[in-house]
Amino acid sequence: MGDLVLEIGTEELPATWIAPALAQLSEAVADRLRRENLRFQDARTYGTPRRLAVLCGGVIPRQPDTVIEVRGPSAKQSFDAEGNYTSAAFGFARSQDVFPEDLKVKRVAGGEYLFVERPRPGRPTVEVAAAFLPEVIRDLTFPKMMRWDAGGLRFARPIRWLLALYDADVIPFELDGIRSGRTTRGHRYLGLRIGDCRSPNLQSAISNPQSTIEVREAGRYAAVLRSAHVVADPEERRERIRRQVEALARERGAALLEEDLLGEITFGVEHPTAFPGSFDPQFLALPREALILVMRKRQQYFPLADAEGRLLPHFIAVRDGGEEGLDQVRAGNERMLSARFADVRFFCEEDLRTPLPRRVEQLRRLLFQERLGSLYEKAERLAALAGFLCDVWSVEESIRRTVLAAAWLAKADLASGVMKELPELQGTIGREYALRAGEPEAVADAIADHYRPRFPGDALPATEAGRILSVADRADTLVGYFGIGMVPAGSQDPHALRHQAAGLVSILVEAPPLALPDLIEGVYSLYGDRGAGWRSREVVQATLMDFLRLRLENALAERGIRPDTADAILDAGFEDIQFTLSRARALESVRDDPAFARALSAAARVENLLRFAARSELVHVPGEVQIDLLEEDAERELYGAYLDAHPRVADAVRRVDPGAVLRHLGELAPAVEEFLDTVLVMSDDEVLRTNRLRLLTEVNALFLRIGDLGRLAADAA
Amino acid sequence: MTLQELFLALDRFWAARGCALLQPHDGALGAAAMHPGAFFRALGPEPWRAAYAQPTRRPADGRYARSPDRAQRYYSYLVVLKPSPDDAQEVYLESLSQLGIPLRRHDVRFVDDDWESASLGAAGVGWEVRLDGMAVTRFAYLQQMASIALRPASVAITYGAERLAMLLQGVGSLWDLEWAPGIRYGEIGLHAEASWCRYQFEVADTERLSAWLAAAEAEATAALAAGLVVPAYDCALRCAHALSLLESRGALGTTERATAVERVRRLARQCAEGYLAERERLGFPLMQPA
Repeated sequence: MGDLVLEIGTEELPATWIAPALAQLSEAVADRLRRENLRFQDARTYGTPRRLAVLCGGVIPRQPDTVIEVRGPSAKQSFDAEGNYTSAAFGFARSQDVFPEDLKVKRVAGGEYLFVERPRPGRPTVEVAAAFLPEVIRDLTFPKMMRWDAGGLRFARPIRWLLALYDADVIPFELDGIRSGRTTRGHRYLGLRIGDCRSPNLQSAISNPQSTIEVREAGRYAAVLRSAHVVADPEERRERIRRQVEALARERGAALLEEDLLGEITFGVEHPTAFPGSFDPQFLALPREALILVMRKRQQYFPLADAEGRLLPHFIAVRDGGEEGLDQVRAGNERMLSARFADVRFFCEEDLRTPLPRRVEQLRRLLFQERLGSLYEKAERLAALAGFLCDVWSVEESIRRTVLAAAWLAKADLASGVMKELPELQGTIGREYALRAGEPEAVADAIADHYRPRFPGDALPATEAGRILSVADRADTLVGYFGIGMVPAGSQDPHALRHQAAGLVSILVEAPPLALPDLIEGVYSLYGDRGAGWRSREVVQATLMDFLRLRLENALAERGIRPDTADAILDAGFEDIQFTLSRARALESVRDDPAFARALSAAARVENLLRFAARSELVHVPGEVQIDLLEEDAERELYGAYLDAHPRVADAVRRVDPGAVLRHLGELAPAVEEFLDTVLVMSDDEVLRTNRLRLLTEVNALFLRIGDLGRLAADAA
Repeated sequence: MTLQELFLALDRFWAARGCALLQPHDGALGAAAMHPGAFFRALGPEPWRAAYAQPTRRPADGRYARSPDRAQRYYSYLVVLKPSPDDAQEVYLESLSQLGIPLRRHDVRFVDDDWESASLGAAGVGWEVRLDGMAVTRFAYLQQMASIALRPASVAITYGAERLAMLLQGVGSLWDLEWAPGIRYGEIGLHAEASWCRYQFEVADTERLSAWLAAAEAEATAALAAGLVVPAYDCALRCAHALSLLESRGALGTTERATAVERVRRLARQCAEGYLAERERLGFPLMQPA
């Protein structure tokens, strides 16, 4: 048993690519070991900006020996009548370089044949790995590949060295001119400490600008790197940074720790050392979100806040290096941060010179989408749509005024200067500028709110005005893009329409009832005719409803609705999303109830029969049920039960009470069963048959008020 | 170290490593790599090593001289190495050490940041080098120039001269930099910066700029028709600058901008193809005999 390590030494890899690459690497190496019959115990990875490594423990030193069988002629051809070998058998033995007595007869599928068994000794692990490691490296993929010389190799960044060891032995191979070896490189700037691992003295550390260092045994890989100031294990680095940041924060306030940022920093350094810094408290007058964004996203600092969540004029940063020169590093970072803040302040000052109404005017020059016109036109549509939604939901007058004001101002910040520097702050800056222009707080909040949810899992808008505006904005975008036929296909969704639709659905499921087709129709007519290539309203309705259905399926699944329940519900229509959800919840809660199982199977039987009738040549003419043609008791009873249930179901639907709908349908089930058990629907008498099919069609329509119940029963069976 | 000493030190460092020290291009450039000594020479198989300081114009970065580290005109120092040497990063880091930046006492990071110039059809993969949190250099392996894939790839190292000098002099604003003993950067450039900003943001006439763009494009086309790729490229650069002036005025819609960029890119491509054909006719004179 031994350890096998592969390290790909590179120039600095993008931080967010490292973890996925390590997963690929370890999976590929493990997979190759398995396919080569090389058993191993475990595989773990190490990674820094300059190295991707995998270490497999307990790898057997060579493949197990195996026997391969070579098949020769059939037994029939190989023996003559006396049972002696024929010339065919001798020829086979000669071709395999064995004596005829070494030939064996074996029965396999297809008869008896001559065989030669040849032991195949397993090859040494070093030899096998030398063959597959270059392929593993070549096959790694990254979001973007590059070339760095005239060679053919493409990778995330240039590869500069390769370390490959099995215990103490180098696994020798060459990749695009780079030979594997036992040499790795330590930290770029910390170099080697004197006395480390028989490291060279100070003089040779200077003459060794690449801090090269040898690894004598694969198992010592991480330890050797540690002696060269590299913490190779990402988890260890992450926890070290977390501890350092928390310790520094404790003396000052609370660090606004964010796991994404922590991860990005972890994969940006080899030897983390956290340090605190400060900035001029004057900058605290800038929008809080702008300060946080600059610190986190532009500079990779952790902001600090006090117990009340107020931002403090301090931050914590992480350097790649030790304690040496820390004051200088801090001073440089502080200067840089204050220059970035000064830039934000410049834009805010410039922006605030422009009054808000003029900012809205400037939206005439900014395109929403080439064929969908300017952002100014979008603002006009938003105002109209917001009014429509306020009517439908009969919101109170004060909120209506807020929504209408906010709709008009919602996109104004996109014309501001700050947006060029910090586009992530759309909405947040809009809120800020609205407040500074003296707009009511509710209007400002609605502006910020209308972008929510910004990403999957983000909170919905907190205010009613924000929700209305968000629905209007998303509906406008979706109908517009579907109108010009820019519908997401496959993984292509450059305008994040899926996210827009998911956001729309997640707001509407919690909102008062709203008919989706009415919303789509409302937006469609606001767009007017957009000329050549503009899709018809029917096409937009149909494609967009299909698109929304998929988002709705996700929304239902998130709420614990099983997929077949969701299908049964959605197949029966989902024009009102909110009612769709309550139908789904009601059905989900009763579908496993044995009493309701009767309703399900009754619905399934009705459906099957109608389907059969539709397929057969016995076409029936739709129309009213004729009471005088109902001959049998069961027929009359079913009709009576139907007449009884119909108004109740309709009423329950109107009251949005799907529980009651289901209850009334359940009550109908015994009459349906009785009817189907005793009445011959497909009678030879065409008049009777037609009447009976009409009755069942009515009953089926009633079932469909809640969902495609028959389908659910069929799925259960 | 004064700013002029910084330029001298970089010149000495790179001259000692085999670079031809070129002089700045005599026209407005939005990126140092647009210099004909980088644009043309990155194309084709011939080796090339050059270094030069280049004033760079980015109208949209103007802040009326009110920003401590942004300006519409600043100095880049560009080094282009072709083919890219294996130790380009190490040599670059050595240049920082030689400028008097002890790397152990600072935080030097290569933060991924790819470079692109849409109007030139140029793309590079690499980093922004951050020194104590400040972006001081762009380091890129050029992958494409004038929409033509580059084999071999070149390394382009673009030092931000003011940023480096700020760090070396320990000052918080570029206007306070010492350019020469007793002469500050602000003395030389502050008034000009503020004037340029007023001109670009408030005075420049967008109709005349559009006409200028059209005229430069026509000139480029005429030069190309006569087989004169170097003058044609100069005209294309003028187009690119007119375009960024129009952009800083917010005078271009998204579509108009995309169309104009596409027109300049096509010109750049034609210039590049003409240049390559010319070098091929000459038998690629800089190729080392095998």
